[in-house]
Amino acid sequence: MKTPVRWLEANADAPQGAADLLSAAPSPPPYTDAVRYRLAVGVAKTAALPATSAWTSLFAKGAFVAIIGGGSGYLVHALAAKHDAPPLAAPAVASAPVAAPLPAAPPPVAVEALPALQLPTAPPEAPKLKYDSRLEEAELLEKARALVGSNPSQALRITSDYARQFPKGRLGAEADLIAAQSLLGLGNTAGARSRAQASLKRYPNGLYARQLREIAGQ
Amino acid sequence: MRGVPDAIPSLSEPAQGAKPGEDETRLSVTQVHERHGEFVWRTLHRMGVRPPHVEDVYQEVFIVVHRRLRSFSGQCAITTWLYEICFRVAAGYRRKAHFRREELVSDWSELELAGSSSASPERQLVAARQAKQLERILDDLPLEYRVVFVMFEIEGMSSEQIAESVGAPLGTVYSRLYRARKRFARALARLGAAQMENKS
Repeated sequence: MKTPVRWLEANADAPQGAADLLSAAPSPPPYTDAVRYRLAVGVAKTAALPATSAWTSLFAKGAFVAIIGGGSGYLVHALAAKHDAPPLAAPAVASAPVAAPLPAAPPPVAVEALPALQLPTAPPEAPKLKYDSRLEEAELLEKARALVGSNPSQALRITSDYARQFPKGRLGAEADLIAAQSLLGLGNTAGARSRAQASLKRYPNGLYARQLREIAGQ
Repeated sequence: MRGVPDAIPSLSEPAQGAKPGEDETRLSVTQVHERHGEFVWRTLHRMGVRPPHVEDVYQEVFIVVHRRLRSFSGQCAITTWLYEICFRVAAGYRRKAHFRREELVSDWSELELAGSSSASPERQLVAARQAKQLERILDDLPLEYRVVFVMFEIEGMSSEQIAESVGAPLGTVYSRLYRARKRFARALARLGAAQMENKS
């Protein structure tokens, strides 16, 4: 099958005005380390929760009732299972052995004689992240990065704060890049170049070496 | 090509994608985030989730991932499975977003303006207007068409890469692209007619 010619290509048969609009497409925000770490915090909190939905909990409650109340529990089980059936795949608890046919009606049991149900008293804590300090670094730099276009002097100030707060920071190369870009934004080309060159000496093979080299004019 | 950010590898754990022969059905939710977070992030953008909301929507995706991960049996690539989840979550987002379009479009274009300080104010204004028009047209495309159109026409991805990302055969990708183009052209024609009407 032949690949169609893209509308942005010169010989494309694009409708009038399409190329202009497509060229104006905004670039999505990059998936920076700062973004990744921030998202990781949310994901870690999610990971700390039980992997069951509210309806699955209801299923579990239904199962409890089924044990206590014999046949009437099937109705609750059936209702819960119906609501919990996800379109992608069944949850792992769906095969709980509770639904197996009950033997002959059990002898009546006094409610007081049942063991107390152990309910969690507090939500589980999110696991501690091993890169907490890096997250702090990342958040500071994220603030700076967001200001490079609109307020480069403030962005530059934040990179200086970063250097002060994290003299042995692990995102130094990113801080340098933001500082160099801010200097460019302020019209200080020589300053930007010198900052980029200094950073390249420290991180010659860093993640941002290519961008820094461009600024350094290498 | 516009819309393609520079790939920034991770600093310490560059685990992107599966290692050859590795079983991805045994990943934890945090490992899925580490390896495929960027894929989810980009997919949500392609699906029209606006920058101010993308982190919240991302977390919604990972709540579903967390709940369903144990049922992922490797019947397809994990990215295809993630794409399906993104699709469902983004579809819900779009239904809500439809009612606050004006606000969203404003956020989107302001973000672009902030990043293009080197352009003249006139050029920035034109670009912002065009970005709004583009987003409106893309928002009116069905989600499956929008994704393919954005990947092909804006991000310049190859048809094979698109097919792999969306977990669809190449023929389906072409068919979605064709239909998206037809709808896009019609919307563009309507836009042009409306502008002519406004001028006269």
